[in-house]
Amino acid sequence: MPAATEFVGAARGTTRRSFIKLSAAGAAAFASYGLVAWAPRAEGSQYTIDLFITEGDAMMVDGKRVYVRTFSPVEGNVSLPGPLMLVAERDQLHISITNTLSAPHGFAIAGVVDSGPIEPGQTKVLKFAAPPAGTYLYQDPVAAPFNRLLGLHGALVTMPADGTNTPYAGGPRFTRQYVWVTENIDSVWCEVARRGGTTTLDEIVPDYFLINGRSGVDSVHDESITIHGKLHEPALVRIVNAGVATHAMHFHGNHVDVLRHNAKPAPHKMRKDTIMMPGGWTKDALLPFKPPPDIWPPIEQWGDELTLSYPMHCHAEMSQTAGGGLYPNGLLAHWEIER
Amino acid sequence: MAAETSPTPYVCDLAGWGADGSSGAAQEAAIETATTVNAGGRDPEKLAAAVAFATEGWPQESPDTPHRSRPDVTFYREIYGNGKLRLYDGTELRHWGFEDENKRRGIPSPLIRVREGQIVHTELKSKKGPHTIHHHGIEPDSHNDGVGHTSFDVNTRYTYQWRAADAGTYFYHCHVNTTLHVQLGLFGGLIVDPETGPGTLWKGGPVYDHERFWVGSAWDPTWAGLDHHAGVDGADVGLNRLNPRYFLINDKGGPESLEDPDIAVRAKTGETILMRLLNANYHPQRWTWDADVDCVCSDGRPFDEAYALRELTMAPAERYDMLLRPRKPGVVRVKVETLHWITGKVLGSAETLITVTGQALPDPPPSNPPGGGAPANPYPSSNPYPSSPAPPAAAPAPARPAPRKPVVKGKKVVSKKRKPSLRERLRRRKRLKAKAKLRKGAKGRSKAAKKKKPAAKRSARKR
Repeated sequence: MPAATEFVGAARGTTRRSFIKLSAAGAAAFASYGLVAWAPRAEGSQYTIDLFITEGDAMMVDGKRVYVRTFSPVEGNVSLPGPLMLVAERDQLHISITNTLSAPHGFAIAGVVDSGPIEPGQTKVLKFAAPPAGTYLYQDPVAAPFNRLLGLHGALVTMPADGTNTPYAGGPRFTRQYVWVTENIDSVWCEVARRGGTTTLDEIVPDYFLINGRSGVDSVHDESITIHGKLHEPALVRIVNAGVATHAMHFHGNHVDVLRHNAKPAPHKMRKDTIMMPGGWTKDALLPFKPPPDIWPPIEQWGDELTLSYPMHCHAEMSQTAGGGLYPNGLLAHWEIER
Repeated sequence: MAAETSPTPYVCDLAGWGADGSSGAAQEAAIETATTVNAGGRDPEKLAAAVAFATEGWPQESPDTPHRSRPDVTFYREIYGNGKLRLYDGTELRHWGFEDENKRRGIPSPLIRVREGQIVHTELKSKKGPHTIHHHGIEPDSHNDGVGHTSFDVNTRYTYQWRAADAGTYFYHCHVNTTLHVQLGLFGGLIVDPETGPGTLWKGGPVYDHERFWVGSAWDPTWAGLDHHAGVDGADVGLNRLNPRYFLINDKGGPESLEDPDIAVRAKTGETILMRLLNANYHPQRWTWDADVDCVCSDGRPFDEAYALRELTMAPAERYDMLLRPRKPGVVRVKVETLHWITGKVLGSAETLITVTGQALPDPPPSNPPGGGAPANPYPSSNPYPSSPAPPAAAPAPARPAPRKPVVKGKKVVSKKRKPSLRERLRRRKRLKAKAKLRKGAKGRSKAAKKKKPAAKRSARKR
């Protein structure tokens, strides 16, 4: 039995520590991915956030090191994905972005803000109001989507101004919320990029599939990625596909209500067991934590032997691999109903 | 072709694999192989942990079903690994599948059809290594969910127990080394009818006169050469690269799916045709109709409102239920294109026809669409793939039969396999000739292809 395997990438370890420090100091609106802690605030606030565009190595689930470019809160480190920005409607954001690399990069949220190219060594400060409640992907708009695919991406979440645990004003209440950023790493493209090369979409063949920077054995043993709850404690799952592949997020155990597409109302009310996630999209889904409907006999008649632990995995099954095999060390998470 | 060079398909040949299913030694052997032979500069500790997880469903068990009750209905599914499907171009597609108690096989595997409220037993007999059955969209406890890393892989036998709660369209598949096993054919359809049985989609929902379960699949023949646990020892076996060459609706593709009586539909004006769609591949699929159809349900959960559409993009494993209520006689062409999961390019397609006879009925239809008006697509803003001009597919284009008038005999439409027209026969002959030329052993191959005709006729019989 594998024990909970710690991520051994030194760069990431440092990043995570720095990350917590920043949050604790209250200097930034960074939060951790996965399970999101959120304290509602009455008033809009102003946040100053420093981001550095950095490069380095990240370790994949099978021990392979790949080259990545990331938005990091700390100069000289990498952070895959970039830090989660958790804000509320009426907040003002001041994001200072420093490009520490040798080619131009940028920072953009579709329909919200775009820095344009930031030259090597240059710092740009973006000032903008928090977008309407919802889940957003931020990314490098330069040579899109290829820099995004190397790791230059992250998520911004805006909570509604009314301070409720809802995805948007008047939306359904949740008990906990999670942010899952999915990503496809093409280790060959990473190596080409390290040497300053370019690529095309036709050449991209991903071989690692991540959820919040982790896969398979690492993601199912990551307590912040795993969704926990008791019956009738709904969880909001904000899915951000930073990759380029179309994923099919399949929840075992419960159907989910798909509420939002790209921070806008879903065009139709749908209760799904499999959600289509095109590259660059975000969707918010409510996992109801209902008694799984097809259990027999009914839950009350079971004793301690009853387990309600389920996978959520992508059904574009190429994504369940690492390095061309090692099923199921790909885009996989677990969720559990505690009794 | 790799499929032909592998002498022993479908083996479970990891060293240390015990006949009783004990596999501790096999697990250790896999880790050993990974960290020595296949390491390739990877961190050995991380790699060992990944291999241990890939083999976590081991050792496989064949336990008793907890709280086993008397079932209302039982299905028996036995694994086979030597399936062969003769395709429209003469190719023999090697596949795996589930066989039922009457030894029935096929692509997709035999249908599981139950009614709401029934207690269901699905008895799995594993062969040639461990397997499971996951009833996709059906939500039982973990023990009966068929996922190795949250329960166990089945070494010899297990009876899955569940109770059908919600009418709708589902499917079942193996969840062991899933990337490989499902692609090689370990999937089948599953329908939950309301208590009243077939004919109504869900309790109080639409009623239908004709029903088809169209499973869209796409096949990469090179994967047939991989063995049961390919890749768990850290070898790069290419399971992240699926390059399909054959595109099917159920078990037919090319010109064969167009009017196959089990796939194509013949209906009369005023009747209702239900189309249950499943994407059984790993690339997205775009379904198109050249008439408005109503989208009423997905993943076994009806919509509040139906939506009229002519185009629908489905992710892998999604199901949609569509209704057509033709008011005019004519032919509706249905096409399913497989789109590359990254580029969105069309990789290939399959088509079938809905032939409508009878008198034109007055417009506008009284209750069509149900729920009224509405946007043209359940993914109006979310379809990432532009619908317009499909790039020339690398796949063989199905021959289009000459348009023909529907034959009406008295009141009843006789749905018989019609004789192919001269044009079709010529086209087929031309295509087969071209194929034969492409191959090296041209003589032998073209003979085999010619022999195929009667076989196709036999398989086209109505069950």
